[in-house]
Amino acid sequence: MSDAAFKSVADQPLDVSANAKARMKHWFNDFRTRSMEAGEPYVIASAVSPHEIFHTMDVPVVTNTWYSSIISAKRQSPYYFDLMEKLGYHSDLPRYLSLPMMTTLDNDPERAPYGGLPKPALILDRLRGDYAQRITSKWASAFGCEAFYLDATAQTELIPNWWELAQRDWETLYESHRLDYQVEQLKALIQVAERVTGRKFNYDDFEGEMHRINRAGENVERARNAIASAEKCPVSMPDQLSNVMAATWNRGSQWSVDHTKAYADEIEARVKNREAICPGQKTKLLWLNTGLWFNTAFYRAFEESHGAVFVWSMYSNYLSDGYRKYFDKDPLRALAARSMSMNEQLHLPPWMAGWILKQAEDFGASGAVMLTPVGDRLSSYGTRACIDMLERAGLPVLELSASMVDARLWDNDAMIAEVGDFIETRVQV
Amino acid sequence: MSSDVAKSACERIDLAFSNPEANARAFKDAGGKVVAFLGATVPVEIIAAGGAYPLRLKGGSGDTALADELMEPVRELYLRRIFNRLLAGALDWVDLIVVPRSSEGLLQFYYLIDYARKFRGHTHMPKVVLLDLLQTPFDYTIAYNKARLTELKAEVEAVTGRTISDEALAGQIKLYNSVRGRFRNVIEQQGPAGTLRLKLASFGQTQPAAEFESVLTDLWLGSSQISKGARVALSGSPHETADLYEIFASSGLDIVAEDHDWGAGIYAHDVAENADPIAALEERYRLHGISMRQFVRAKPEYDVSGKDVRPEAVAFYFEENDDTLGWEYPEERKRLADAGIATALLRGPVNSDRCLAALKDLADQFAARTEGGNHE
Repeated sequence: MSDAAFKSVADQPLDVSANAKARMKHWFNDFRTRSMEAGEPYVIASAVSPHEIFHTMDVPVVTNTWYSSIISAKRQSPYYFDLMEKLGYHSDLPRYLSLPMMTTLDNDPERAPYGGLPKPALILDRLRGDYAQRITSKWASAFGCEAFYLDATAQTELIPNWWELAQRDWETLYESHRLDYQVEQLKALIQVAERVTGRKFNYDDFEGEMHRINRAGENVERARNAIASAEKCPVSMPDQLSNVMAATWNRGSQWSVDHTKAYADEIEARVKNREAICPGQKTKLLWLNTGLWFNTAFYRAFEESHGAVFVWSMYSNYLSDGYRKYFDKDPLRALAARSMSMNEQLHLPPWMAGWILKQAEDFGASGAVMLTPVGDRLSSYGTRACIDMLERAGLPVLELSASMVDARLWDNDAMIAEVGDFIETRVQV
Repeated sequence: MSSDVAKSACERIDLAFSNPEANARAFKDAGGKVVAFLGATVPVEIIAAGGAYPLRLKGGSGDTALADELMEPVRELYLRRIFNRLLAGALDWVDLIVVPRSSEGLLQFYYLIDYARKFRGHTHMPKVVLLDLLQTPFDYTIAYNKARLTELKAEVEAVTGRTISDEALAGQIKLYNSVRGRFRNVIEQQGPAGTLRLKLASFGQTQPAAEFESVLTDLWLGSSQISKGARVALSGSPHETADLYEIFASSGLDIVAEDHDWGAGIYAHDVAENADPIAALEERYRLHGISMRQFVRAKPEYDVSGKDVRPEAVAFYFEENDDTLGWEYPEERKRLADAGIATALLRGPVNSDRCLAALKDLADQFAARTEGGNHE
């Protein structure tokens, strides 16, 4: 089939992308009206914590990563980095998750994005790494609010092909003793959440929410399969990110179900109509590890020059493979399964690499680029073994090291040259 | 105390510090079982109750070339070295290795061993088990930990072929408490210099309890082995070698207390003897096991007996990729300043220019004080 048979949609975002952006804007306006202006209780939570509990209670949730990205986008991070050093925090401490705390310590509403976050009812964190407790306790102390810690039990055995068990046989996959513990933690969290927000947690509402997350995940799987099977990629990486992430942050809502359905429908229509973002596509690439949030245009920088298209990142279908947890009777245990396994699946070498190889095979990818954050030990763990496993399986990998929050340190020309050289010398076209 | 006996004790301490695995290897060669472990949160009482030799592993001074194929350079150096030894087959003689989940680095180390065994063909390595001992102060954590310790007991029983009775466990708890008490007495009554105290603390981690007790009984320090110089407490990252302690000593400073997991603090807390043994071990290691995940860490200026050593300064040392302990530094600096105690920030590695320069600044401050007649 010649390129001419494909219609270019290189400059056409999906129609649904505008809805995703509008929804995120709506979310922020809602948060601003209810919590920043009217003082309604809200919760700051890490990205991998069980937001579902607060969604069920109609309590706004702000993720520290979201606010960190806003600080970076507004180019305020250098100021807060300087503040960190002035306060005595040494320069090697991880910065991505600590930027929001710095706005609170600084206490300068004129400078902080949106005037800074108001005092939350609770800060929720999962103690995956060793430093989360330290940052969260300091931040909660600065606000004068309560903190809740979800301890992170450790998987004893990493059963291969986690994605085949994660949705319906998660009891086997995640080990019952860990699930028992996580359920106890969630029950304790619900008690605290009810106390600090003054709202009741309704189990029926919660069950409905959990079912809707599964339905949204099914839609994302449909979209993912359409992209994977397409001869030429029908949707850009930035489009994938904005749509799937909006559904992820709003998971459990009817909006997320409707939106992911529209997202899948539109992608399937593009495939059917032979529409491609790069009709001259010669090779498909995977983007591994952290997203390049401050420069999403980079994902598309190799389409014209090399015919290379980034077709997948972990955000493309984690809502499908990682979030979906089907259950018969116990939605809380299903939530336990979801909330205690996210990082592990995405970052432990055999689980991470196995899933990536599955995607490479299904998408027909010829190479991968891995972004490893500098100065962040936690995000670096497992990357070398993952690359080892991928390379041994025949998937060439280029590792890029970059700061996640300081765009000043990103040398775009050098990075483009590095990836271009990788495509030319190591990727089979 | 005869000086020959005391000298012999010091020689045994030095010997064990330079060759920490010799006795364990001899025990193994004589037909015994050796259960190695990492960190300071594995209850050695369980291993000893099973009749196995408990050996805490050190990284030593070897290279990391093999490990570096799979380990990111940001990982802790001692773990890279132990992993290198594992891959090279240097620990194949060990019967079991217990890795506690007391830091993210240790947990990732456990998974990497599993990866190397399954995907890189390193099937020669000894069996490695994870001890998922959590350190949060919640009721449900206690129940979770007790089950994990019971599993560890079963693992040790499988290695030694010997059932561990409550009585045997209680006996080891009593023995180790006795040795900890003796260690605290030596520190309090004899005041060894920092380097010797570190070596003595290390001795108890790599040698059997009876041997440790014997050394503590025989030890009587001469004047050259007693703490002298400006008194500095050390806080921050662990030190399994005496490198930093020796640099301090050569700068006229002595480390009189420390809060890292190879220091004297590992002997600060006993295990309750009048409770269910597993429950008692759970409480002791969850609350007082020094680790990156310890929920509440001890103040650095307090010694192994819980007494304020009244240091003239606290030096905070953070290894080069520290992502955790440095978060405490600004508040600690302020707290200590309010108490009239100076602080210094040292960044790793130990012999780096920046570390040596910061240490020199600290030493110069004390020298200036001494010259000015302010040194107490």
